[in-house]
Amino acid sequence: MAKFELTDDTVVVVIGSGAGGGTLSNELAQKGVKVLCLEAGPRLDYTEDFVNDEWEMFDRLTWHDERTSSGSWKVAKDFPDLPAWICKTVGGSTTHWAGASLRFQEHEFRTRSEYGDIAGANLLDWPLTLEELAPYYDKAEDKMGVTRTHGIPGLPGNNNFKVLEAGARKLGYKTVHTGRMAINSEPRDGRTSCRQLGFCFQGCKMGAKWSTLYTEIPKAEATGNFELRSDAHVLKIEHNEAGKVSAVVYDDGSGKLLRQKARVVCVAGNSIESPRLLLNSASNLYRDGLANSSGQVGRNYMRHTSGTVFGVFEKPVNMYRGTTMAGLVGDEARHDPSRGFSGGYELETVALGLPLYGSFLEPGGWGKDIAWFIDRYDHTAAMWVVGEDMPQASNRITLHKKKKDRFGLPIPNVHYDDHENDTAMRNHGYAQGTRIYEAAGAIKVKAAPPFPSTHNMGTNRMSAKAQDGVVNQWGQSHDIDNLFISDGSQFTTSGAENPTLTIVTLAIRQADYLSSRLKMNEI
Amino acid sequence: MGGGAAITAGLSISGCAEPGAVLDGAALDTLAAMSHHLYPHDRLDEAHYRTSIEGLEEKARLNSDIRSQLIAGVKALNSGASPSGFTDIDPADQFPIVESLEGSDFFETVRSHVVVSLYQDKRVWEKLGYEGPSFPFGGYLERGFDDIDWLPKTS
Repeated sequence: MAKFELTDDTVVVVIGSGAGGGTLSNELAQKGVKVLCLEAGPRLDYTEDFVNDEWEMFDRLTWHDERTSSGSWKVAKDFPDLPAWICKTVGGSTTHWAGASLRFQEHEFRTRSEYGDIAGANLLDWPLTLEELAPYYDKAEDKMGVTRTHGIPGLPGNNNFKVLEAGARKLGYKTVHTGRMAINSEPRDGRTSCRQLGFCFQGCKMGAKWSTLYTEIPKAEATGNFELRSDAHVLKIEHNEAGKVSAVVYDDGSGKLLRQKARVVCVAGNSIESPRLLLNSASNLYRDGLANSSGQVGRNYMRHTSGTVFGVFEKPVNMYRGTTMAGLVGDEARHDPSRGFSGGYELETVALGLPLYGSFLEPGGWGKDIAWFIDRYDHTAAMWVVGEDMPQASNRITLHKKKKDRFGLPIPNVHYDDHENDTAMRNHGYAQGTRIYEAAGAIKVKAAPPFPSTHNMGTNRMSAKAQDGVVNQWGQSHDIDNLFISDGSQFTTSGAENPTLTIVTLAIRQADYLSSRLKMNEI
Repeated sequence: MGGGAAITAGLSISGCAEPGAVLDGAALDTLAAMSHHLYPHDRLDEAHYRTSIEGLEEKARLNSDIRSQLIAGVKALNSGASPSGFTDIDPADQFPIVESLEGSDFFETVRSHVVVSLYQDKRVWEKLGYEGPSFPFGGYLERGFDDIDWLPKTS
């Protein structure tokens, strides 16, 4: 691993080591660019530090720094202190994710054009098309080892998937399969294949699921152009008199604040921390925060419609055996306003162990009715509604007016109200999920409200025009040409697909652009 | 019957609480009885419910607000059962007393604790059919991950 001086102003500083930051770091390092990655969380060893225990790994991987929530969304009521279930660790949320890797659909890059002007929604077309991204999606799928691409076989279906499949086929659904998953179905890229542990959310102890922790990061280190500093929480991004970013200030994990100079800064702290960092970096020149001339930093926060359907059967299912996201029904992902809403959703299996099931089945719930379900835990199947939610300018990350973190910086507040399109879509998803389980023989079905958001997008969105967003098609901020956004906060729409594949895809493309600009000394 | 009830109520299945404890044995028994109403499972024993509330002792020791809440809450449960103690009355009579406390901080402190501790108990896992860690056994690839055999045939 390389070692850079704090005073080295020729390095690209990447903030965050997850799907965006980790991939960008490796892609740049492979091209000979000097990259320093600052990761707020610790560096774990997946063979030793990952354990098959839900609460223990929740404690170990999750971003626990204080956040507040507001708005009419149910998450603010059920989990007021935990609006998002994402990670603070090397690898970011790629340690926790389930591996689902679907490409966005063509129309999801131009929802404003396709859906029209939906009242209350801040719809906007991406400054990118599926056609432009396609070669990069291809590279990302190869990098991550996505099943059903590049000759990689699909994973086998577990019991939870078989229940979904049986019900879905009975109803006439056609797109029903075990997913395009970044989980090795056979040994590949120096990593072993899946043994259906059933603890995907708790970090893959096999290394079969793709995570930057044990792929991009070590590969970057091997180039000799890359340094990772973990337990390094970036607090502020600084700029010079010309308005270009010039350094970052971070806590080195011991309470000591250090200033690292930078030629370029790429922000990939996930969609709550990234806008927070820009806002907390406000200065005399940038009074509303960095890259925020449009006022869109922090706005348009999206988290997918979310919501879970649990089906109880007369005989055992044992949903926890094997992959958490074990397969999907894709027919509803289409845009079909005759259903009463714009955009679409995927139905994907999800599984919880008994510990988390108790807490998520009905947050705050208790008594005979809840116990009835928990008594039949091993007879339960579950699916999750991943639907495109509407960007709204008022759904946003803002700096809390009073509460500060241990460094004296305002903590973030996450505000979200469901748009009526979101509610209509979620209800449709609940209804269809119920029908699917009933078709498979369910004796009872229960819909559960969204968990703390595992998909977080949109808060530094791409736009063609500077006044509509924060970054251009390369993730480069409109206002400051050496400041980039490299995580899912770039997303202009949320689409009906899990975000990680698209984040990795954008990072590969951003690396191409950035490295060539650097080589030409244009940044 | 007050003093007598206090003496007999102090003798619980798991024995007395530690000397100098914030919550005595009787209080823990009362909380255990309450937890049974929060998440009632016929397959679980009193021992499981007793274990599920024991961690509240530590929370009470570390946090004076929680301590006050728990002491007041136990008192409220007992008043509801008065002149008997809460643990002396029929479960059917205990339930409305528990229900009447829903919405209070005390109720939520106990509920949010029990929902985590009860379903984290490995003995409860065994009773309710959760197999726990699978890595030590090589995952479920050869241990029934896809063994379901009762699904309706699709046309």
